[in-house]
Amino acid sequence: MNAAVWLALKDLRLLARDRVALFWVLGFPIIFALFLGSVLRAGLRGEQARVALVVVSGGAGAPRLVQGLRADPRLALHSADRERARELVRRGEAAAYVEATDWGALLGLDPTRAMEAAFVREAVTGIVARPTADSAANAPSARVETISVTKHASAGPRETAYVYPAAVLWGLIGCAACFAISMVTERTQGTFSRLSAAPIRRSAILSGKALACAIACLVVTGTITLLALLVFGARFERPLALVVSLLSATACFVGVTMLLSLLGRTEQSVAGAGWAVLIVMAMLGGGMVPLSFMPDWLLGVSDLSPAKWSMLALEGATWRHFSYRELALPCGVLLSTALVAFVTGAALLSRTRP
Amino acid sequence: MTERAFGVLHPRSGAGDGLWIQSLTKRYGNRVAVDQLEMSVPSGTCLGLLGPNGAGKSTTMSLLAGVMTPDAGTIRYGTEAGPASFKVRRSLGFVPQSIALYQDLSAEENLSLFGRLHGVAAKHIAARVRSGLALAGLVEHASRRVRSFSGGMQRRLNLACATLHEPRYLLLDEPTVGVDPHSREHIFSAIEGLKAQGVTVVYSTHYMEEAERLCDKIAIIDRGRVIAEGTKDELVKLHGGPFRVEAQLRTESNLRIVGSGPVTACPETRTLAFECDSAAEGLSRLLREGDELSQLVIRRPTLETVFLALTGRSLRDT
Repeated sequence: MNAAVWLALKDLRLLARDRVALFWVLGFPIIFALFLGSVLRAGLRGEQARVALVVVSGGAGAPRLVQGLRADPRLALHSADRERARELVRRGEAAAYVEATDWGALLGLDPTRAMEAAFVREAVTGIVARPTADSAANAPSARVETISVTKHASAGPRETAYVYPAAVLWGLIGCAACFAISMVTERTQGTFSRLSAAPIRRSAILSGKALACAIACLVVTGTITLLALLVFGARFERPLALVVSLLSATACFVGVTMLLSLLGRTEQSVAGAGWAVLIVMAMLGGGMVPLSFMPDWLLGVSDLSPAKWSMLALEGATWRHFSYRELALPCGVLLSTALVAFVTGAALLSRTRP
Repeated sequence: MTERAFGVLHPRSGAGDGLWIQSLTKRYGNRVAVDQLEMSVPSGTCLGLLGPNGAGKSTTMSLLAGVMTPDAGTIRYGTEAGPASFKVRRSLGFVPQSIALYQDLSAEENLSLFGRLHGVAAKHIAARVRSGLALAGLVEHASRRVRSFSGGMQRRLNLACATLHEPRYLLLDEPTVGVDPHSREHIFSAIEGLKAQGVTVVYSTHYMEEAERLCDKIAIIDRGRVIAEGTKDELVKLHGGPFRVEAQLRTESNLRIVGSGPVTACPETRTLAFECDSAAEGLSRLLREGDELSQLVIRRPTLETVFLALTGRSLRDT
């Protein structure tokens, strides 16, 4: 059997025997993911100054709607046809779209952005309900009808489907943070010297760590997925897309973890740096602070966060119903990041003094 | 290094499994840890590396084991340039200075893991693990986790983990630090057994008695260089200095010592001291005086005398 596999089995065996470590690597991320992830995702979305709203072009009421909405400085308006508007919301690039109708307005909402949706609904209702100069005083009042851009009827209870990507993200972050110190532990306990003298490549040492970390991450994400399916009744229509997204996100976090594990000489420094980097990554990626809270320059920076691409891939595979072509971008970014991080880590390890 | 240059260093053509080091150099920034080191260890013998703290012993061992890469120089294991190649590494056993074991694995799991990583085939691993446990004297503790072992047990296992793949070369970096006399004796016996099987050993230590007992040749290292090398007797003869005789007489009738050389005498305590080339010479000089002795001490030069003479007595806190 390959040396990396023996080393991975060793790490997993050590993990299984250390109950405290086992809790922090496997138990805590699941609890953290299920509770904090859901709270953050459900509770914090949408309280931002500028909500991206697409106004469907065309239609008699459209100019009046645009005029009214434009007066609100908290809205960032875009114009598109109905199909394009729907796509932008489905892909998470806008919180909602609005279309003027004969009877009022139709709102297409991103179901995960409840706070933003409520704000948009309030703004649109205010304009639609306001009487115009040519409307009769006794005419029936206009109304706003909302629809969801997703097919949540087939995705199990909505909350579970929407919370699932954030839960997985936090599961990966928790697991990765705990594994970040495993390489420096080899150095502090002296076993790295013995491994370095063995007839194996140093990249095999890193591969063993990566394999163990990947298995632990997959156990965590698999458990979260099973809980979502069996306990919370979620249904995932495209299991293959979900598996691809999960594997891509796992690979990315494992690669980043391996790189982090080499950026310090003590367990304290690596643990501190690991959590700091992962938390910032989660914040920039929208896993902690909603992207809609961020100024434009920070949104640009968020593209550098694997957390953002992980969320996008997982949302795309679950309720955003990305095609495989659409999934290719986030999954490609995640896998590329994994590769670059691992190769950089292997290069660093080859220069590491025991 | 070319084959021709290697031939100069090691004139025994076809010497087989010996270890040969030429111009080995390692720097940490501006500090030279190993400086143009030259050594040879014939097959089946044991070379002791003696040196104060910071002399470069552990760095030399790490370079020999392939844990670090030298900045310059050559290491050769038999006919193979090494230790970068896996072929050479499979023939090396390295015992690091620290206890390099997984504390939450059992003794047999540690042995099995390191055996497999060194290429022991699956069909042989169980037998080799049993041999390793026997070598470490841990057969009855095979399934206990290392965490529960005493320091001596861990040191013995530390050695056994390096021998599971039956190496031809054994590199031991202070393998007995902090162990009780029983474990030390067990480790010595194990190393002597391996030597008897033809294993070539490099043994780094602070302890003179270990070097005296185990090593065929001793190299004293200081500031990254070999400052003296030879058998214990050769080193003592060359660098140990004279014998020192200290005597206390029953009467103060005669404190004069016949013969050449300075004598330190103290009439109040009736003591005298002088240096000579051998114990026999010292005794003969005293006996010629005819005085009765109430106390006689003859201090012969030892490896420690040699060590202190060559490396000085100042502290080496690096």
